[in-house]
Amino acid sequence: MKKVLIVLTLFITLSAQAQSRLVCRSATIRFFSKAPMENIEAVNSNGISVIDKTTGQLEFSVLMKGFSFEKALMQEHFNENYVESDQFPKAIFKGKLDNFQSINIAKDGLYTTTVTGTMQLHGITKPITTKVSLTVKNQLITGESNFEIVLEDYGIKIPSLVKDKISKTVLITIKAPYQNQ
Amino acid sequence: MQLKKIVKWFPILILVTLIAGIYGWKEYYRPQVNTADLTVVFNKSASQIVQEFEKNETAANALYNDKVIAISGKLVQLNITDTTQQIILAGPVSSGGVICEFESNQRNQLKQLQIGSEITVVGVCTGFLMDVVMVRCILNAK
Repeated sequence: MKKVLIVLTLFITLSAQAQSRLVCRSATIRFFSKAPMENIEAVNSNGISVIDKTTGQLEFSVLMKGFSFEKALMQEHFNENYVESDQFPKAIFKGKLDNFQSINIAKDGLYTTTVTGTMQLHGITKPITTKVSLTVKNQLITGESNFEIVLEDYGIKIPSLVKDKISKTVLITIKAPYQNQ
Repeated sequence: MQLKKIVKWFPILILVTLIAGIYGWKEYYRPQVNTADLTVVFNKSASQIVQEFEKNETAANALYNDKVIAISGKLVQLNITDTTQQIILAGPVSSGGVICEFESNQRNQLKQLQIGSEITVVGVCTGFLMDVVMVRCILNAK
């Protein structure tokens, strides 16, 4: 009987640990930059993110080479001249969802909070805080956020020839549907 | 004399400018190449390529990123939403797998796939997060 109780306790503990994370492997990240000559936009649907349900810790990673542009030349310039994807292949966010404990993921609804952390892009790490909306449906969460970054903050240089034709800021829009894991 | 020279070279100058302009225009609007028209550089199993990235990510990035790879493996997940056409092939036990993102024109073919079946996907490798990531994928006809 004692052995059965130990095994049962172990099973429950392991199950609880296994269910303590929310994982997303298909986060969509869009960026948009309004420019006088032409708007620049790209999308990447393979971002990954993990939320620790007990602490609200959140990590997010995306591969720079996964951004898809309509024009091949624009994509080549993005990877080679701007974000230098061979040298800096990933953008990584590490942070914490504020007041995550107050979100009842057993109850469907739309919750808004902020996330505070650091974002590493182009080899440079900067603090960042942004609003996040979390839609809870059937105990699953979809996170959405948008924020602007200044390219210069991350050491991304715009060639002088096109300096007046390209915006210095980029709007990032994220949508991440999480699953229990 | 000077005028004669200008008249002589003017058509050539116009022609060179025109050719440069057409080349620039075509290059600027060059679309993405269809994966079906590209040559496969590597043939790998999903487990093999995941192990290589886990062993030495920098070396694997240098070898596989931007390359067209045919990857075979067991289908474990199918994510088809309004905006996403993605499948996951199983990697080694208790490890990551291979995420394959498809173009929207592959949607109907993807819906016919059975979880657990062995398939081969051709796509362009973009690197490694928890899984190896492939984009612009197509199902191999084999």
